[in-house]
Amino acid sequence: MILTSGRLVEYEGGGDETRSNPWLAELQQDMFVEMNPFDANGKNIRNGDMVWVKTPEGAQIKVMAQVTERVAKGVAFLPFHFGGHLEGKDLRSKYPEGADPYVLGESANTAFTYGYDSVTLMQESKCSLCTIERV
Amino acid sequence: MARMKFLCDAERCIECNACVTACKNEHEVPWGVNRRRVVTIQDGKPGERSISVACMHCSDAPCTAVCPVDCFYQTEQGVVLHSKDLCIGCGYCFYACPFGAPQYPQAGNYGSRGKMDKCTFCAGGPEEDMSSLEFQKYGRNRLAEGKLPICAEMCSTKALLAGDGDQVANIFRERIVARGFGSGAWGWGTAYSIKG
Ligand code: SF4
Ligand code: SF4
Repeated sequence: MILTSGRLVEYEGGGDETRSNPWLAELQQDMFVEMNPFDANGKNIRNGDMVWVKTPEGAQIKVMAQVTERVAKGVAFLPFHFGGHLEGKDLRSKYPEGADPYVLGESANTAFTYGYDSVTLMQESKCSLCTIERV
Repeated sequence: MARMKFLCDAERCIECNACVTACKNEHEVPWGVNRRRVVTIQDGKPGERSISVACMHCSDAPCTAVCPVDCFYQTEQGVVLHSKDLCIGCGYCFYACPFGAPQYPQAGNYGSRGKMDKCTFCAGGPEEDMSSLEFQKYGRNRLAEGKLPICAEMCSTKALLAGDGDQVANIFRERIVARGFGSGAWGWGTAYSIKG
């Protein structure tokens, strides 16, 4: 599937500050992947199931499936404001005491490729590939 | 005296949740209690619409009718308020309310309900206006400060209107006239291929 990423209205950038704000964190408590009902049905995935998003370089992230027609068939979307989980492991205990945000989740960057723009050195965060499987 | 009302224009709401966030911040509403929330229908599909919902401060309020301890009262401006000293957390008002407004913080380890909390139209409660006790129990009393509800003030698209019901109705009427159609004309999109 084509993998892309983008923003949520509640969070900003990597999300550490905004996920540390209780009013905002309460509104988005889970890192997720949006997928079309057509793709989800084919893989026996229901809305709210935990899934592995696996990418060509061997990375995998464990996120919640959001089944929606907002994305086209064959496209998966990740929001990029989460961090603090790495390939299914919760790293909350590694934060200095009192510095951990209310909400943690897999970082979209874990799943994206090594590609980057040679002029600006900006990483490729819009276009990659993945497969999705139920956990 | 003005009769306070809310109106949410589903043609304008963009589900940004600014109203929800502003309310929580203004009144320091705890995690899990929501005085206001945004409901989206047809999420991710053509015709998606969002609407911001809280206590509507009804004229003949069902919560007031069912409360066994009579903790509700209506101010001269039509705002429905309640006393947390009288409330016993029975939950009747939640079942009576057509908008799902009443919220209950968890009180004990067995999931028992605490004192009900809901939108106050930013008008505090029975304690002395703008006292710290009032803030602690009911949040800020913006009406006593001469201000309107923070949710509507903060709304980026002015989908959410709050204030004197006559003025709110006039603003909405002007919008409908300018659009030539609107939420009063549901089905125009399908019938006449006009986005609506
Ligand atoms: S009027 Fe005040 S208490 Fe009610 S939803 Fe708006 S901000 Fe919250
Ligand atoms: S602030 Fe306004 S536009 Fe944003 S969700 Fe609330 S009502 Fe809708």
